Amino acid sequence: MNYPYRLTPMDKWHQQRGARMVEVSGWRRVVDYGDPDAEIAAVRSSVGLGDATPLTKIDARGRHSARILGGLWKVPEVGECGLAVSAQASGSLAYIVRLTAERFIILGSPEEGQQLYTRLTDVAAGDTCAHVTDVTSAYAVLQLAGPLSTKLLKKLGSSRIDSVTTDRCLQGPLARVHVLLVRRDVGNVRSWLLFVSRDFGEYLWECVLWGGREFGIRPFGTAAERAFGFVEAADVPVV
Amino acid sequence: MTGNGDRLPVHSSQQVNQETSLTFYFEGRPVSALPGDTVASALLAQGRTIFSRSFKYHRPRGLLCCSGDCPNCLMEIDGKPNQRACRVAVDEGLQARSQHAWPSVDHDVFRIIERFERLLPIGFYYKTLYKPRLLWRIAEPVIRRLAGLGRVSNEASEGEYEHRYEHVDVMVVGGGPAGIEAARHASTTGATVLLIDNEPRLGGHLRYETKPYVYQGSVRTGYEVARSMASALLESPNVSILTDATAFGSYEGGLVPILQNHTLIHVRTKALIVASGCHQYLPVFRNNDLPGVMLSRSALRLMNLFAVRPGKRAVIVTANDEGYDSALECLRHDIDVAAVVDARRYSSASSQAAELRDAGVTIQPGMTVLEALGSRAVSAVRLRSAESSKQSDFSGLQSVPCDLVLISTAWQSNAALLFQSGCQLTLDKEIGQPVPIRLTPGVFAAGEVLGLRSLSEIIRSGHLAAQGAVQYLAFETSSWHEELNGLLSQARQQSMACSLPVTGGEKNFVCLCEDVTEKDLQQGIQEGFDEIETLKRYSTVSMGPCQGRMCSRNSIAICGRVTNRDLGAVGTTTARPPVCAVPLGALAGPEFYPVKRTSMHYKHLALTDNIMNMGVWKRPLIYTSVPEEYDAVRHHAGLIDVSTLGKLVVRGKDAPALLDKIYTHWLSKLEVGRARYGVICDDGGMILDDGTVARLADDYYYVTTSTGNVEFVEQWMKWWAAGTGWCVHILNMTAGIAAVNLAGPKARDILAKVTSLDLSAASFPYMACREGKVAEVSAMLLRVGFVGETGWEIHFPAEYGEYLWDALLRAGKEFNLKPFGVETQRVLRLEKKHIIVGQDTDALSNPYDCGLKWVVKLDKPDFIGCHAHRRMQAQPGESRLVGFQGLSGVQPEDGSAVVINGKLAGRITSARFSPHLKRYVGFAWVPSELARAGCHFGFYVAGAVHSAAVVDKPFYDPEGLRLK
Repeated sequence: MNYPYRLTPMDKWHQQRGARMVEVSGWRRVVDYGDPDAEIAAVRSSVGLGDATPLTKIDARGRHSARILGGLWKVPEVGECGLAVSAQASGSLAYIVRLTAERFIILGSPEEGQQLYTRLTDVAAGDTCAHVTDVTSAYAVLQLAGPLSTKLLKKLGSSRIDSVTTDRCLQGPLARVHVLLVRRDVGNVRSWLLFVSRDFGEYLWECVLWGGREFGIRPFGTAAERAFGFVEAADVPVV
Repeated sequence: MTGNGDRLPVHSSQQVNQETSLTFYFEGRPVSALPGDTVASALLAQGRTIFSRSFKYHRPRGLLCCSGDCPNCLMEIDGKPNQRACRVAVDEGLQARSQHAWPSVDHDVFRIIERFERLLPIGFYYKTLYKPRLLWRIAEPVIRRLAGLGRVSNEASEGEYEHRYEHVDVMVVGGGPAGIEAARHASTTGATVLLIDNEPRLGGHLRYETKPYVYQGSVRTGYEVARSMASALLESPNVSILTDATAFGSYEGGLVPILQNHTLIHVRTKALIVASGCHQYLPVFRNNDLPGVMLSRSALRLMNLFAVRPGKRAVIVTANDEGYDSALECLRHDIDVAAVVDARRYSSASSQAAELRDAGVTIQPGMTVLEALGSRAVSAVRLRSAESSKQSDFSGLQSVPCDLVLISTAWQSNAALLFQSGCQLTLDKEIGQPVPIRLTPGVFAAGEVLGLRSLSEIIRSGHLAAQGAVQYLAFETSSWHEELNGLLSQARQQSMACSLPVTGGEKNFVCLCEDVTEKDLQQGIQEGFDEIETLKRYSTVSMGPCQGRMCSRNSIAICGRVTNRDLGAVGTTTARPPVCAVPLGALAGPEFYPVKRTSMHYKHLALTDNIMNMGVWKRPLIYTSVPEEYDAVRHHAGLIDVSTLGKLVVRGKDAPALLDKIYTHWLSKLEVGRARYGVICDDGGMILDDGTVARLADDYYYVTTSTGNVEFVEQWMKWWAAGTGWCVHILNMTAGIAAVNLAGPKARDILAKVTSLDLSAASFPYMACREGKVAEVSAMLLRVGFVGETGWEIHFPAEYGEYLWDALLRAGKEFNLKPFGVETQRVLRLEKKHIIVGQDTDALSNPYDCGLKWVVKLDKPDFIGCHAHRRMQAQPGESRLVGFQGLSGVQPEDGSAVVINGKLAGRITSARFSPHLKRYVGFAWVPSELARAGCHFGFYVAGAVHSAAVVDKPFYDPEGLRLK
């Protein structure tokens, strides 16, 4: 591994469980926990939990933010998310989460993080009321995938997630901390991205695993992610 | 006990499986049971008649309701006290024990208490055990031991209960025919529906009825109708069904909590349909609590669901036709019916009555029960005329031997959820139970809870309620209640209501939970507690585990009779949630204790296990020892993790204007690349928070706040920015940015090894900020000096936390760099007289009294608190925060009282031993006349007053030369 590298808040947890680690785009990531087949089976039949913290996250907010982003991509409605292709920026992709009329989180692959940030900063420059901040470090991202993932979330939080279809988001408490939930199904695999303040990352990770015991939850690594095509299907290598 | 006991032949209505058996334990002895049994039904099948002992007099109690409405079968089951044996399904190996009896429930020596009944009148402990005061201390534990409700295990079971959350369009409480129909109809409109019932299967009272009903054009037994309706509902779309689940309250915002086994489900519903039915309750007569006295629906459950014969010779006490049905069921199960005693003047002309007469059963109209005879169980009943309301009137007195008295005299609606939802109910004398006269918008009622008795009307009411709920969801005007009123009118015409007169007497129990008798209530009323709410509190009637299900109506009737008032004038008691007993563990839920860890947390753990909780944060308190760490900072260098500091990014062209508004200092005049200490005050001029504000660009500020205040400051800023039209945005980056403070005389040398930034005092002066690389990581550096030494706060992306911590320690190894903890930092900052907001200040502290006058810039035209500060400048406060040094060797404690001339005059907020001065130093609030260097005051520690002297300058490096 190169040095310095970036650690997710769950890094120690992964190490203590004997995870096989590898460096991906400057981040130390889990390949598997020793039994990738079992991890895949858990996602397929019940629920699995992955660490998607390396995902690039850009916060864009301000009165003109929708207009600025609209110049690059098709901007979703409030509460919706969408994968967008930019005609202006050489066909670049971004997954846009619209939290309010004037606030967005733009997700990108870890590899393209700096490029994405620079591009957004450039378009927001000038006399506009739109501000772009790289918040990759501020959020831990947990990916909860599998048919029982929604049931597990209902056990941990009070948000109305039954009505949340794919490519929609909502915010609310989960295990007593504030979480942004983005539903991002991949093929026929139900999948949720849970954005939580980084300093609560390890706590929430442990809570989700605790709550998922009755469902046979297993943590999974990049091997399982590839098997399910989370990377290809999103076209944004989320994990 | 062996075998499955005395069981009735297999019948399709039964829920028990008679082909196999299992074993559980009662009082440590094996008991054979059938799958599908409850603990109570299995014990009754084995011949047990006494299930518990009463609360006060330790009288024997047997099964009464078999539906969880009374307290008579409370037991300790699998270590949990106060479980209702009639509701707990038998499992292999289950352990049941009686409670509140010694040496056994069959032979309880404390029964002797009843002999001293005259010494234990209502509220006796209020009247007798208050003088001398010691008496209560002696008596209380004895009373608690003798009159208890089991024992709670001291062994906490972690994570036993779980919480879950649901959101639905329509929630139906009650899985009887009305509830099933309501859920079915609502689901056909596309609404999401949740149906809950506290029984293991749907069907309500139909489940245990074998009498015929006309349903959908054909004649079927009650249990067949129940199964047919339940099956049809299972095929309905959009319906979720929860059985063995109890809705125990109705709260604001459509919140209805449900307890299902070990899960508490928070349900938010847009429309609520209450179809919770009604229950029978026990009339008041002498010895009405004897084992063998049973509600008729209870007997039907036992016979038709559990194949258990509740007795051999029964007397049916009734005031309606349902009692005749019960008598026929008894005959069908080979129970001899000694008599049907009907309180109505004329016996029923129903076909059931004719059938009974044909079977040779004696029907006695105009009669009722005077008393039950027997010691440990019913052996006979004495009857009297129902016309007489006097105890002494024995006209028509006769005695009938029996071992079972089935009661079918009156119903009480399960309307607690309606009450809690804000609905208005009143007692309908014609129907014989409270019925809603005004329903809250979004709340609907159906079925027996409305007083309906005919199956077709019950089902129709469910349909109408669903119709109303769906129209409510669609914001349409509903006319459902008009047809419902028609159903209620029909119900009044068909009503069989006939309340039994209460008779007066000593062993006439009103409240089985608390052993309150009719005589007790009469005495309470005579003592002045003649309002039902005060009578309830004084006598504790309706305050026990059954929450008034068995006693509420009777206590109201007695109160009305004694005070010569109509029942409507007496009123009702308030039905507060929870409707049923809810374990505290279920309310507490899973043990989620949010914890924040900095990105260097595990590096700290590798060095020390002395970690403190600072709010939700975990912080190292001490690594090695305070003297060692102090020495490193003062003479070499120290490193502390300050990631817990709040960190806000404030951006936008109007950011300077906002910060000028929020802070007392000028921040629009702050140069780019510079930082400034800032204080935030409220409108009254009181300090809310402090921190450092650094300007990174014209429209870009980086603000730090105290650890616990970042969310507040963020909201405070957003509040003041809202509505201004300013272009300014506040982003909380606390979690994303880690920070360490490298401080000490060697800090510059260490930092120079890992950064290419020019760290010279000229290029990077005190209170400057720069962005650059530290050990190849992009960082923002602040030249600040909280601990009084040359130092830098290094802020950098949190994911590099462990790496940079290691890199700095490695670079500082040759300079004797050591990590230091929160405790050492407290000593260091005290020596510099740097306050901590919240520790040294409170909600009434202002900058002038805290010695922070210099941060208030009254030349600014406006900022929050400026008007108050102008007044404060002209009129100093009565007390001041001052630095002090102890003059004795006694350690002042945080919070010690400041004493002047023997009187309380202030308090010490922080105090630590200063290695620099070799004495204790600290902060204290003292009267302003003493806030001058050299003034002395006393502080109170361990019963003695010790001296301290006020010091106006920092204790360490007062000129601040070491910071430069």
